Amino acid sequence: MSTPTTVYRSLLRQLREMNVIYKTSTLKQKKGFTKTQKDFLVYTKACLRNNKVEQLSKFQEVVAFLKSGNQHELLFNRHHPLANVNELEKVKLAARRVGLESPE
Amino acid sequence: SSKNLLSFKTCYSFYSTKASSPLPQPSFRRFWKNTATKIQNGEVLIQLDGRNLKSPSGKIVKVPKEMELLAHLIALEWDRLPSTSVRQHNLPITSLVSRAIDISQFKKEEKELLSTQLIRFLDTDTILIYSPETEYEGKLLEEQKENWWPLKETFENKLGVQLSYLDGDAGIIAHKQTQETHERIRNWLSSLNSWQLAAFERSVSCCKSFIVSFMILKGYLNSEKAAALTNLELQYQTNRWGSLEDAHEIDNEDLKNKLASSAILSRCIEDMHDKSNEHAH
Repeated sequence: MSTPTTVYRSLLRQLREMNVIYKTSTLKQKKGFTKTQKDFLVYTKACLRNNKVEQLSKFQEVVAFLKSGNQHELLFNRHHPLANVNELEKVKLAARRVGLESPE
Repeated sequence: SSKNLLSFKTCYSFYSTKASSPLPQPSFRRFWKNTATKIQNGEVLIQLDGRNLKSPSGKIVKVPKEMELLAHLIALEWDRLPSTSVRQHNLPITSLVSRAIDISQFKKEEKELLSTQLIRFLDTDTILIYSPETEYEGKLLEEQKENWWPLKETFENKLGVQLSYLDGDAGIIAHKQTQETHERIRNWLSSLNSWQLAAFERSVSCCKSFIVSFMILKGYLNSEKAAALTNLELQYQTNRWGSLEDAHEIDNEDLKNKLASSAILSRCIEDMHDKSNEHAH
């Protein structure tokens, strides 16, 4: 049985996971949640306090949404290791493969 | 700021056109630091460093106050966007809301065309085409009957239509619903607003089932259950032959993600209707 508390907790878990998954590919992030994520959590809390069934099922969908998105990104990166490498980096890597360095 | 505009455009085109330049350029550069939502005149906007986010067709992306959740989810997407590449699946809610805004600008013919395209999915609906009895010792057919039949009946009752289905033993033949059914369905589609159409179109195009999408829109099914139901046959196949992580599992997560985005929008629409009813009383 899921309650507002369990839904909120799984939401937190998914956001943390998101930061781990995207940290390797995105900008250097500071520890903890970003401002945007904090705003989202404040909004979520306010909604879940209402304790309405509709709100709960809506946020369960949000959890499912974040979870599948995270999982997708994780699997995608695992199978496309060059997906988040920029073009210049790719040239460098290609050059190194044959024992060369790309010019500066 | 012209530079900003350029990189903004390339991030939407999803590929770089500069493949022939002597030194390859990074195709997309993240040009903003902060992503935030802003409430203005009963609507919620998404701002990148204080500038309004726009859809590919140039309209400002905004949602009614009752759908504030969507604005937050869009902000999350742009907040975590990688600096080197943008793939289509990175912006699921952004694209969904942009689509709804585009649909709201549709002329009558364009709306008709959209309906025609959507109705075609009912003829070949995933849950109306059963598998042959010989497959998987009839277990698959049994499960399909158990799970799919009630959905068909609910759909028929709610919309007052009679649907034909295709028996798996019939082989590969064309399948079409009657003209009368098509007319009824067309009427129902024309009663939907642009938000509902966008949510419905998203789920139809990924699960290939008109009926399952109807259930998601109405809240009779949650997205997880819907994904499982449309993937029944695949489930049997991968159970027998094994699943490939880079194909089956990525596709499955993608399906779940898209259905969930459709479900979130559907639930937000209901909220908006509840609110307007409260005002009426």
